[in-house]
Amino acid sequence: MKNPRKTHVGKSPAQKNIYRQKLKRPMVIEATYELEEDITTDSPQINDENVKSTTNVFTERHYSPENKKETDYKKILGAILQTVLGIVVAIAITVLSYMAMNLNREVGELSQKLEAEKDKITRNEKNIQELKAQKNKLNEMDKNIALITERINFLKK
Amino acid sequence: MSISKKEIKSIIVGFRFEKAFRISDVMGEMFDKILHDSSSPFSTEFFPRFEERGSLDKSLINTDFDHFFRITTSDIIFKYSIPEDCDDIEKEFKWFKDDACAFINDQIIKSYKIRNLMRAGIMFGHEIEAENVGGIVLERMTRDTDEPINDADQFALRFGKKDSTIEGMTKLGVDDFMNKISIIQQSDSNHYEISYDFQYHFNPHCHNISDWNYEPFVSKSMASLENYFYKTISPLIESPVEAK
Repeated sequence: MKNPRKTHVGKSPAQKNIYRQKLKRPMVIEATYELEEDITTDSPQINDENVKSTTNVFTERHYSPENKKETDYKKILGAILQTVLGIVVAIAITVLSYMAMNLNREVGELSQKLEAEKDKITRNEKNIQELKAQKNKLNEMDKNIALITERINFLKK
Repeated sequence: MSISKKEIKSIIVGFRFEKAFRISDVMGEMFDKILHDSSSPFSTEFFPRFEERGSLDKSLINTDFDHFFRITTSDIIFKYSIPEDCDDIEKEFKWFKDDACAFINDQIIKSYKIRNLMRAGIMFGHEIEAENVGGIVLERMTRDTDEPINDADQFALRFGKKDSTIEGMTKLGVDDFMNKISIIQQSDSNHYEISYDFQYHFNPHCHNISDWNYEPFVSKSMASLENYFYKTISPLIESPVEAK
């Protein structure tokens, strides 16, 4: 919020009029210093008698049963809120842990499946290599057979 | 009987702020500054004694000359009593404004970051020796009634007059105002204390005293003493009426 004392926004004639009207409202007269309680009439000596107990702190809020009830009510409300919040947090942690465990298990299973697939691929690759080698041998044999057949034909002639 | 600056016995300057318990922690330091700092117009001779009313209300006092400097968690009040042999009241006013008020403003309120000022006030205390002032005032008030009163004991009269301020008239969101309080109080059979309390009320509270200029306020209070107070009170208490 802006400090109105530092802003440079002026008042309109209507606002000035409201301000003047406010000045007419009655108020309690409180002197800058009440002459009756002139402290210099007290004994000026510094001794224990002059050091009176502090009461100002406690006059700000007098004790009353309502105050006490309010305090208890606030305490109970705070405790209930704390408990509910604790339970919610505990449930959330349990659910998250369970979900994390499930996820972990699923990841494990998938990893195993992946490994099995990898093995299969490796085996297939080996088989392909072997088949290729066999095919090459068969091709070689075909060539030899063709050569032998050619020689047999030559000999027959 | 009329009243003038010659009858001034004391000048009090007071600042009221929102209760701040932090003040009680730094009161000792404040008093040390008041008594020993080179910028201070006061000294241990000025305030030879210290009084404590619990931990939240402490004062430096001079019982011989009737000065005090009181600090509480919501007020700072300095009372300066005019010396009996004073022959130049203007000189006393000048010291009060330029030295005492300036020190309180700059070295106490500003330095110790006293926030949320609610009110500043300067009170001029007069003492007059007169017969039946209460009767004179009451006679004026009751002269047209069936039973006019022209004699009074334990007389006391207090009234205020609010006035606008430049800030209140010109700044949006600021409704500061002056309150001029006149007090007549009988202290014994033929002595009366007549006080003029010139107050500046901050509405809303002034967060930082740097946002406000104290000097025109002090000057105005001194000018208002003659322009308003004496002109109001003197006719009220003059023309003595014989006591019954």
